[in-house]
Amino acid sequence: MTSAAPGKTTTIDGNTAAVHVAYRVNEVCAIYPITPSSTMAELADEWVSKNIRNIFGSVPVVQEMQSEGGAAGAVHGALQSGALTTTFSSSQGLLLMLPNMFKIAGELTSAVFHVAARSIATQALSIFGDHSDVMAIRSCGFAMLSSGSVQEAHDLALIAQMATLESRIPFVHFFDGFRTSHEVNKLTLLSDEEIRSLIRDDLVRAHRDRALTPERPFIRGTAHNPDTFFQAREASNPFYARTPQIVELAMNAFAKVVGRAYRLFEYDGAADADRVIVLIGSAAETARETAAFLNRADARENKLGVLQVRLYRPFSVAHFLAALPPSATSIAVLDRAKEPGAAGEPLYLDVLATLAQAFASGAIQKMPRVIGGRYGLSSKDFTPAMVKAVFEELAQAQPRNSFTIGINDDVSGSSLTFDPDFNIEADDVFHAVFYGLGADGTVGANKSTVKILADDPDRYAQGYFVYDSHKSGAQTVSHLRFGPHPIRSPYLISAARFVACHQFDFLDKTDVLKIAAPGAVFLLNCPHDADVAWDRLPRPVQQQIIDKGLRFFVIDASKVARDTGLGARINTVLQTCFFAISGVLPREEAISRIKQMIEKSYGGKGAGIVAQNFVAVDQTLAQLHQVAIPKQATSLLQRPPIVSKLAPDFVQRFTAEVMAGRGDELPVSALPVDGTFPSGTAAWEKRNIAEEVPVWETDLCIQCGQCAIVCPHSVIRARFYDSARLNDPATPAPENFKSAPVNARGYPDSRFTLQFYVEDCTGCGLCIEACPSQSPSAPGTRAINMAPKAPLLESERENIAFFEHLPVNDRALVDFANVRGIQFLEPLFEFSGACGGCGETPYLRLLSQLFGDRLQIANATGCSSIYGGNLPVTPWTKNSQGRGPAWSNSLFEDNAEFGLGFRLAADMHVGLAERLARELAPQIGASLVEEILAAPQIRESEIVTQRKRVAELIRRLQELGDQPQAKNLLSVVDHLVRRSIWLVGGDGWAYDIDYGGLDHVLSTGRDVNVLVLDTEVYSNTGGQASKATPLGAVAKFAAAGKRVARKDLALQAIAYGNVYVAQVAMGANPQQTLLAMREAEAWPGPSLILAYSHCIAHGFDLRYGMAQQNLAAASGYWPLFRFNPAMRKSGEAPFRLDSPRPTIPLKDYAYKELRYRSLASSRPEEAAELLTLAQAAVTEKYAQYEALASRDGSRFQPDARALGGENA
Amino acid sequence: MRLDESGRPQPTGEFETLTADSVVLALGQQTDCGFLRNASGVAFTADDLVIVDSNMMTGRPGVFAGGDMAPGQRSVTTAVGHGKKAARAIDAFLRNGKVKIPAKHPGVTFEQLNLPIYADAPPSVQSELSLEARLADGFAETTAGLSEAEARYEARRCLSCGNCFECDQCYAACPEHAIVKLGPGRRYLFDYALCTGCAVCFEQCPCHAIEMAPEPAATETSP
Repeated sequence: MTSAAPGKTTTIDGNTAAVHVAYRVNEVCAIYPITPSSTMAELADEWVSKNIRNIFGSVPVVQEMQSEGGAAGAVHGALQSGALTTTFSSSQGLLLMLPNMFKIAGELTSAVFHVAARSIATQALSIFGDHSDVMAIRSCGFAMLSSGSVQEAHDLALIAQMATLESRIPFVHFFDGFRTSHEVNKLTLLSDEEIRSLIRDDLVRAHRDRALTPERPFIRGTAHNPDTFFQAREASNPFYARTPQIVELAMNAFAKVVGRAYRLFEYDGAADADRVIVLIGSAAETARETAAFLNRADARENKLGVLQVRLYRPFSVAHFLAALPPSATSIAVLDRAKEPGAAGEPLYLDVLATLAQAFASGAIQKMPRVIGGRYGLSSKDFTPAMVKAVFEELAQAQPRNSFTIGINDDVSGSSLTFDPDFNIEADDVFHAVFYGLGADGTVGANKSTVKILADDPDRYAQGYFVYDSHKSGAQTVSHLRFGPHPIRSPYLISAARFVACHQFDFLDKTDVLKIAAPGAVFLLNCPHDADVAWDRLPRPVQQQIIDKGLRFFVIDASKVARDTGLGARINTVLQTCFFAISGVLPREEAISRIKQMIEKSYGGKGAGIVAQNFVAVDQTLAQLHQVAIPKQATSLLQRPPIVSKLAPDFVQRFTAEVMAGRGDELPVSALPVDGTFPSGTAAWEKRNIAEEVPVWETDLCIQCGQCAIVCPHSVIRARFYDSARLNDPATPAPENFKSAPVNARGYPDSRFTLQFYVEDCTGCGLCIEACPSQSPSAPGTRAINMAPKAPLLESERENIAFFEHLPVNDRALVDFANVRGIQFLEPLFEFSGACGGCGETPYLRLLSQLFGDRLQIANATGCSSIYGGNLPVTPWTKNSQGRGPAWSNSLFEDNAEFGLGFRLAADMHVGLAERLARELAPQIGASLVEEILAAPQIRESEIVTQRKRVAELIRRLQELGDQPQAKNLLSVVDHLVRRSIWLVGGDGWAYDIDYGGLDHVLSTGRDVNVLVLDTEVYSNTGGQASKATPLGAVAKFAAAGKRVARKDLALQAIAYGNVYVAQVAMGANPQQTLLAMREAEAWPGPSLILAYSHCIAHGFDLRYGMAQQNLAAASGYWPLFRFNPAMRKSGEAPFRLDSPRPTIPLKDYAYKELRYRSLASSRPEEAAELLTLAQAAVTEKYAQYEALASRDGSRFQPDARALGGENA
Repeated sequence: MRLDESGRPQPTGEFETLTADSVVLALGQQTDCGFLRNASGVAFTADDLVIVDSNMMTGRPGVFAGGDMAPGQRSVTTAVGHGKKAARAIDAFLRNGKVKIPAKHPGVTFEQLNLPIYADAPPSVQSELSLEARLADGFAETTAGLSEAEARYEARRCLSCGNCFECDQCYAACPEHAIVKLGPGRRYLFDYALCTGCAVCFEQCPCHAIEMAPEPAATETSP
């Protein structure tokens, strides 16, 4: 939080810039998380918890809602009650607000919605930026004001507020998701006084005067008939008509007070321009800089201009025509959105209509040629090279319309070609690029570097951070610019003078030096001594260093950090290196600046810590070595292939390219047309992110399966096999291949092997903690222990290859009922990019093991849809028969309904298949048909038998050739094997956004299974509170600790009487988890499983995740239970409490997690009171469950479905 | 000969001549127990066998008998069994205690086992001479028996039905850490203060060596 003094500069991102104003000029904020706008809502909530006031002297009310639809409703209500109200959203969230937005606009209500514009999910979801969302809502009657930079996001937030109060037209103030919302840039902050002076109290009071009050009642929100609706819709026209002028006046007033001037349509370029690009958002900055560069380069040839649209709705024809140079003959309108099937994208159509009308009416004398094009979808980088290509297209005799720029469209031929080497960056700007690992602190250090350098009054800085989509071991690329002028380059760096690679392994996977400019400095965090560092580089890297004449420095940052007591914080070491060798500052000054920063950051923690960091800085400088560059590349090391040669064609052709960082270069033809991708691609991405991996002690192992069942990444595989396999001369076992006799009596010739897929392991250590077998002679040694991976890698690769050659155990030979048996079932969910030690994925892996070959999953958007379906690779896979989970993600807010749809279709097609089978029985064998239709299909052996029958049925049907009924039956014959339909999602989905849908689906009585991966927060968007967040825990949106206990979703579902409900925690009792999943699947009605999932958002070392789950159950916070309606038939109590009475106080569980502990340090008294209340709630809840457990079946709602009727 | 009232053959003094291809000599044998005749307390049956009690002890404390000299089938199997039984009794006698014979648990059927996997282990087959070979070869062994490797394999086919072999699976599976390992050969202790009766140990015991029993009703003195 920045305290405001006039003209004060600061370095913040676009979200912070916008919410800084929004918070100050509003009284109510209704919020809901969605990337990339969540930061705005989080900051508002945080500032409330810090008692920061708005310009009216109040602390605003910030209310989290259950969905964006709910947020919009609350906004509408608050506005109708006279409060100045705002909200923040993006993408799908904005679409959910749409019905209310029509209402808010129709009622001429002053409000500003701040939007970080983002792609809408179509053939795929994307969290990245474009204008699909704002263009989709353009007809709702909101004014639309666009910001193209961090400073604009700050300033236009205020101008929008000024204009809405005066015009009564509500505004969407939007800026580009990520590119602006997450770009860190230096800006001049509006002081509270400036903001105050620009918000007119009379307009605020007028807003309040229009509110509902029983003192002066009126009716708003009536229903009209054909006679009056139309006229009423036209009645607001004058308000829209005068809005552009109101915005213009607000901009003028703003300029007068603040000194920064804006126009509705900002034209820059040659006054006599013939070629003009019209566009919206951050790309305008790129276009402007490029036009200026080209005009300078060749003033005779190039008369170029750029028209940035700030006020898109209401679209002011007059202002547009006034801004466009009359000399313009050729205009390209660029849209960052796609409208399939339209004559052109929205802005293009507006410009075209404006010019056509103007020409027809004689307002302009010549109709320019106007072409439209698409660019930048989903944050596709939009570069000066692309701008140049568009200008060149405009110079063509017949420029192409409806073109694309930035991709290679080899299918429709829409794309313009561009020269990727074209670069306009000024020499006085310093460019630096850093490759880091998601968790290694690189991004944080770079943000701090940007702030340090931008603190100087005469220096400007920009930081932009690109993340890949893995939640563990993600690669981050930081793009930093520093210079003497404001930096208006919202695109990635293409030629850097400083390149740092903070992870040595990246050299094998990523072409990190592609981005290095000739003569650049290359800093490598290198675990090898400086004198051998050169020899350890892959040959292509050596060649690049030589060819580009790079200066090459190495440091063993991990060693320096360790030796100087900084532990794992290599970021300080590497940041010091950057300052020392980049030349961005003179070296001596740079070092003193770092020390100043250390004193500032650590001064509060005592002189010792400061001194320690000073030593680290000095040590860093001593350990930083420049490596002499030989004349020739000598290395024998080549980069390994991105994927194995054995990988399927699609993986070679597509997936590997994306993994190598060449996804941008893939042509349109390489992409599936409808978002359909093959299963099982994660197996080809050997990420090798763990430094230490588990090693198996055959003699200590009791083969209990406890390690395999907790493994979040499916890297622990068990097989038993005939011992003769080890000595098969055709395929002998590798020398180091481990095996043991089966640890049970009666298996004279069987061997057991536990194989760790070390290249896919994240090193989380959950398995080690789960291992119950301790060495009697060496305390602390278990049957699996962590050991450095590097020395094992080669032999383990051979072992894995041999292991895969062993047959997968026949499902019919494995005991499904016990944890020990589960390890032999093949996981059909493997190697996901989830966080190391993830608490969710063990449940999904188990699900895939139990029912994978007949599993159909509807997956709500969230962590599980990202690690489950984010490119380049996906973890859901198939078995050797080609069967496996069929997986789809629709949305966040509809997943229950989406999954119910699976069931409805399945029920329909089962019925159809049965009817057709009966009709064809005389031809295909009555007894076979009868067996198929009567077959029980609960146990695996029954499923296996049914599969054989159906295979025979298919064979017989195929013999019938072209007979239509036979072909019809073949088209639905899959359904004769009972399908297992699962609805998977997080607590944000189940408790909040789709709670209504989930409740409805459970009420239908249909056979669907719901698995809630309950992390008790919105994990995917960064840990915002949901209704599952427990009392007293701190989360984003609950910065002061949650004040309401977790919603008892289980009891709500139990109330239906016919819903199977279980609450499980694998770490507390994996056997109960297993039992619940099997019972839920077998129950021929709705089932709901709430699965406790530890999460990084809880704030503790996930290695102890399962132990923490155990404490959750032991404290009574998370009792394990099962409500099984089927038990009534056997006369047993249907509610069964599976965990004992609390054995430890809640505090002993809760205070192991930062989410609880942090409140205790920030607000000790409140935290203590909350803990007391939370303990009371836990005790009471357990007593309730105990009472339920003592009830017989007659004390619950009856299950009436057996009577038949609509759903029977 | 004729059978007397107790069914035993008695000679009659009559002779008969039979024609035979071969004759097998099968004579009765008797144990010479003469050295025990003077031992006080040792009693004999009518046919000169030493009378022993269920612990294989003769009427004289400290003197045990078994095998052909004690009543029972005169086979090696029986003799080995007598020896084993007597050894236990002698051990108990020397310790001044009683032989504790654990109650036999009920038989365990295949359905009661919780085998982790169902791998096939077909029984070993002893090779037998064909009929022709037997006739041609006179006294050659007709049934080969098992080699050491085969015998070991055969022994390992035992599923240990009902008998704990300390695989530690119950210990690993217990969600409440209520099972304590007592060390090799000493099996486990169930800590009933921690046990919730969830039956996970019972349900996974591969050899069904664990039974679930009703919890004893709380007595009035318990808190």
